[in-house]
Amino acid sequence: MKKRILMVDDEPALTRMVKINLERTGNYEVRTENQGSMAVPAAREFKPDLILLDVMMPDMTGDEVAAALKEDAELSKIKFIFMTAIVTKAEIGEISTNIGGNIFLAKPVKTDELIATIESVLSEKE
Amino acid sequence: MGQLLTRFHLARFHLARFRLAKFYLALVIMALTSHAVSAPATTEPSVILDQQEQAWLKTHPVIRIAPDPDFAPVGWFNKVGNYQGMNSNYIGLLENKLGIVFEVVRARDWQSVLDMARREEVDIVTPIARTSQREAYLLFSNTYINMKGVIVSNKDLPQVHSLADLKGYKVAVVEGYLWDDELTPFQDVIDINRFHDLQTALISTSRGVTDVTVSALDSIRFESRKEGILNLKVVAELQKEINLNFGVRKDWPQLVSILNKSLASISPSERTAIREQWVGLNTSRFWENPVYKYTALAVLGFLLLLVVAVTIWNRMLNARVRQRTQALKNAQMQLIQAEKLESIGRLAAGVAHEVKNPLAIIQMGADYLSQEMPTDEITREVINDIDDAVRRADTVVKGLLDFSHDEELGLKQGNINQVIESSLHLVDHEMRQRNIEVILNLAENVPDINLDANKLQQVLINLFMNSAHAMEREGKLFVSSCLRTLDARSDLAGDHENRFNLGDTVLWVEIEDTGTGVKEADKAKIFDPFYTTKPVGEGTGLGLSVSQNIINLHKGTINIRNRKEGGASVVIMFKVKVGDNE
Repeated sequence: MKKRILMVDDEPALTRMVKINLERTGNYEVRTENQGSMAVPAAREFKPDLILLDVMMPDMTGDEVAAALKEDAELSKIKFIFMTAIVTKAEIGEISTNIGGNIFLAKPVKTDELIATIESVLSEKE
Repeated sequence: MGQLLTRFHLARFHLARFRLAKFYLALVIMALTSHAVSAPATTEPSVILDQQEQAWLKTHPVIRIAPDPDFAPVGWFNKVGNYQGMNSNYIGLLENKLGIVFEVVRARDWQSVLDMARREEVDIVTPIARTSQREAYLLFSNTYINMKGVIVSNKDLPQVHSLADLKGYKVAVVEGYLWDDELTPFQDVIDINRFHDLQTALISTSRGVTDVTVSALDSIRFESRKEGILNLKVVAELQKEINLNFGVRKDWPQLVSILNKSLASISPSERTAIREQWVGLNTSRFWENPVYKYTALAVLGFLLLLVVAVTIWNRMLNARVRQRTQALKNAQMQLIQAEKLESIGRLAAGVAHEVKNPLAIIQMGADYLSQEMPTDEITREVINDIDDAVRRADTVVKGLLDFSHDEELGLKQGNINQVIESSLHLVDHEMRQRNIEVILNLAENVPDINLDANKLQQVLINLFMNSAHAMEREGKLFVSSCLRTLDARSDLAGDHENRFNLGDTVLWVEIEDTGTGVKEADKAKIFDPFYTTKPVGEGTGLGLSVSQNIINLHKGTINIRNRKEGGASVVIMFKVKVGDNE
């Protein structure tokens, strides 16, 4: 059975690239969203195994998305990986309460690396 | 310096005081001597007189003597009416030797003295030159004072040698004196100016009212000194001397012989003492006066010292101004540098965000193409080049981000030796591959300092890798740490000077290699952001500038220089608290 991956990032070209690269392996079904605010409704509808979440988005930050997911009983078990262009302590520090303990990937990331990270997160016990 | 100056000045002062004391002592001795010779005689007569003379003296208990009342320094009455001067001393000596006391008669002036002598109202007149006219009513003793006649002027008169040469000049003389008599025959050709006393005559010559004054040298010296006249000089000494005697009433020849015997008994040393007291053989010029001389020397010495002191002070001030100016310049440079770094940091944060997303897209695109495109050689190369380009761009952006985040040090007490060791451990593989021998020399007594171990590790790894690149294949890397007191100017090269001073004790970390060293042209720019000597694509030019920034945030300094033996040496200094080393 294919793993369901939801990718939320305000950069459409990037979400498209990730979708193409993951789906061509035949192991994943990927849905993409380019607005932070669409993350929760999409998750409710798509029921992903994992969400790839950008941190800096104009309408709703990855931090806020993560908080909303945690609050929803149905969605709170979904794992997520943060992907960000800004790998700074300061920014991590500001939102660390909600992303602490989650895997964190710096852009640009190679496809192999991304897949390896996804697999490692998914294999973690519930 | 100040103390030395004071001591030297004091020594001078004591010397001057000592000389002054000697001078006054000499005066006191002279005064005592003069008192002795002029004191009323109470002792037995010391002159051997024959019986007749002794008898004569007994029958003439009162002998009246009329001195010239105004003839300094030979004799004059002072303000309180005492007769003084050389002549007074001679009279005193005679009284002493003869065991008698003269009755001194004070006349109004010289003319009155002569008048009284003619009328036999006095028995002796003194001092008096022998003239044929005076021989009519006076007998004369032997000469006991002789004086040189001179012509003095305030200008050089090389053609004047005698009174005869004074034709056409304005000549000052004292009325009724010998010189007046001598010049009167020539009054048609000489402009004779007659004054009542010598002082006025001398002042007229001193001020140029008259050309010359003619008088006795001793009198001129005495009056000049008293009046403070300094500009007169002797232009000619006259052949004719004035011989001064005692004049005795004509009917007392016995007294003449008694006086002559007494005068003969006066020793040369007594004569010299009298003369020195009133004329002063060695003090004819004011600058030869010891008080003046040593005061002037002391003042000169003091002024010289003052000039030296002011010069030294001035130099010290100049040096300090230069130092301060340099410090200000350094501070300004640091500010400019800090501002530059800050703007780079701000720029970097913005650029990083905007560049990393496109990089991610390119990376993912290349990944896709590498899977979907035909796997021919050229395609693989193109894909690899894209991968490399993304990695390089990402490295630059990471370096930029380091700028924007260097303000945040996680400072903790830690030991630099541990940081050095862990950093070396991370580059161990690299060093072994390049055949580089690492020689460690870490001092055990280095104190803990406040440090951010991760950032310092970043710095050290950067420096180790720079060394490794400079050595290519094989070489030696020396890494040392110690506590060190800065004792040489060369210790404060480059940035070190901005934060440390000679005498400071610092934590000293040194990384030396046997590589190619730093080129002279690169030295000034080596810490500038984006300055690199590595081939395009191999270095961001940010390593050393980031390192310097991190070290500066630790309140430390970093500098690179070339070793004499070849290769480069990097010195990092950190502040240590006093007492930390124990």
